[in-house]
Amino acid sequence: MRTIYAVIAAVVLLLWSTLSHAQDYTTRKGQVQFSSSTSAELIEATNNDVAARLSADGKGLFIIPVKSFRFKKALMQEHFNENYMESDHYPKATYNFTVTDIERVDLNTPGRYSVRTKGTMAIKDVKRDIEVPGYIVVADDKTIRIEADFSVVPADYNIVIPKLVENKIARTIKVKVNSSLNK
Amino acid sequence: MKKAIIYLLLLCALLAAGAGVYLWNKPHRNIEDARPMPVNAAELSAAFEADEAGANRKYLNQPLTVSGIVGEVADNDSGQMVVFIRGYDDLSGVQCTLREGAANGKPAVGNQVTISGFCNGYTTVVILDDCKFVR
Repeated sequence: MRTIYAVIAAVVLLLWSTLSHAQDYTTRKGQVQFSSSTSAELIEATNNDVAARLSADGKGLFIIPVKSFRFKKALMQEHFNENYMESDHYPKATYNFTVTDIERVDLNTPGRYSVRTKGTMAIKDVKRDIEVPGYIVVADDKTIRIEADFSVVPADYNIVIPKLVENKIARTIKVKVNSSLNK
Repeated sequence: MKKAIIYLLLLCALLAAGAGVYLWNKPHRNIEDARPMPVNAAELSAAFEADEAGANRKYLNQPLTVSGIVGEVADNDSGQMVVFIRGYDDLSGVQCTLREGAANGKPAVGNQVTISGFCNGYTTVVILDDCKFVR
């Protein structure tokens, strides 16, 4: 008898986890860009290899492979990876978050919904609790797009800018998220 | 003597400027110049899922030639062709982004493919960038 209960429980659990995951929106090729703008230099980079997940209850995750940031100049890309992000040691950055006002979003009705997220950003060996505002755009085909513009301070994440290039790299880096997710 | 020193200084300045211009304009890494290590997609994806840190030590930044079955072909938001090679199970695999000009022809889903590129690590799949088709 006990075995039967255990089997039923296992089946229910399996079904529940399958159903709850069926609601997840995901992508493996999300886009994240950043720019650093000073009077001396404009530095921009784009990453199209970002993995993202958002479940209907508002829980989400971004995984950013650091080496996939593409710069116009190979030299900038090299400095970014070797000197600032140390991407051989820390190959990915993550943002593990919750959309705190997910009840405002109707995932079945197309529209552009303004939302707030709260979570933990992990860059290099530093984890920080942050809040990022953004938009969830529900398209006609029921796919969604996550859009956000926010700033990151390199010094907060143990990214040391040498004195020699201080005037070329902004103290706050502008980050732009634009990622389409499918069910 | 004075002239010689001036010429020498001028030569040094020119060399330094030349080196600066070369570094500033140096091209991105190119898979054509690399000697990639062959590995199949199932083996590569299994290695990352079993021990990501260990697989990073072995494969991160390395030029690889990956073989397997095409699971999906689509463009990313920058208009680059992205070929997903199936891994050891349905969820795993290797995501290969073709470099500019390398996307000649579109492989069919279900076909065998071999692609070379640089390994940028692992998200939920293995990431390969600056890729070209081998066959």
